[in-house]
Amino acid sequence: MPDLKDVIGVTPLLLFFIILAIVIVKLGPNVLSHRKEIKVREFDVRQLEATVSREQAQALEKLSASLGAMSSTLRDVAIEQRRATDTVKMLQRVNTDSTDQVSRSISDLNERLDRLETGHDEQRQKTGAPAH
Amino acid sequence: MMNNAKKQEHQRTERLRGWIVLLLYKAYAEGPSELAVLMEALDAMNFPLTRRRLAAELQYLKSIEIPGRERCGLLRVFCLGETQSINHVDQSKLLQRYAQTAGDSEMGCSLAVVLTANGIDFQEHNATASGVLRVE
Repeated sequence: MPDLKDVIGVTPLLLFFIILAIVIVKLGPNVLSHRKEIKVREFDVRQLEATVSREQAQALEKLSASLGAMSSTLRDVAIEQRRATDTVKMLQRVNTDSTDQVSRSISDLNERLDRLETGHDEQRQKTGAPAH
Repeated sequence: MMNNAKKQEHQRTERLRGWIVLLLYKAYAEGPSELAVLMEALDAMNFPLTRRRLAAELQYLKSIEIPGRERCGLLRVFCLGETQSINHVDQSKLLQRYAQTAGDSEMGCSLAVVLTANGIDFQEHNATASGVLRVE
């Protein structure tokens, strides 16, 4: 037979465990269901995150494709511009040389005209013919 | 009448070849010229050409024989970016591919052309070549 004092000493502890057991039994399913719900929500959130990441990746892929196309176009434009510049330079050189040639011909003609005029003047002075 | 038209066509072709040599001569100091540039310059000089026609004329100028010279040809053709010289057969193949394609992107490279010593001598009256009218 346990002593009454011992029983009284153990009772609060026993009561505490009984109450704890009741609380666990009562609230346990609720806590579990909440936890389950939280997990489900977490999965939803992760799925949403994955969807967002996928969309982000797709957007980045499109952006990179656009940038690639743009860089290719810019390269083509730069090449065309360089070619146009080269063509203009080539033609300018041809035109400059032609202009130089014309200038040389004109100065040659001027020199010849001067010589002719000088010769004519000398001839006139020799013959004593009046100037026209 | 027919003979006269043929003669005129022949003269025009000779003149065109002369213009090609002249334009390349003018650009010689700055190095090789791209065929696209040459084609545009010829277009500006009232010689609009197709790729096929330009390739044919370059083929002629590349293989023309100069009297008294060992090496033939007034010009040399190569792909831009190439570091090694290529022989006559490969040059002809390049020109053939140039004539058969619609653009440089289809061809895979950009062709360039440069005058040889024979071409420079021809333009500077130090050599003669049949089928080309010297333009100055």
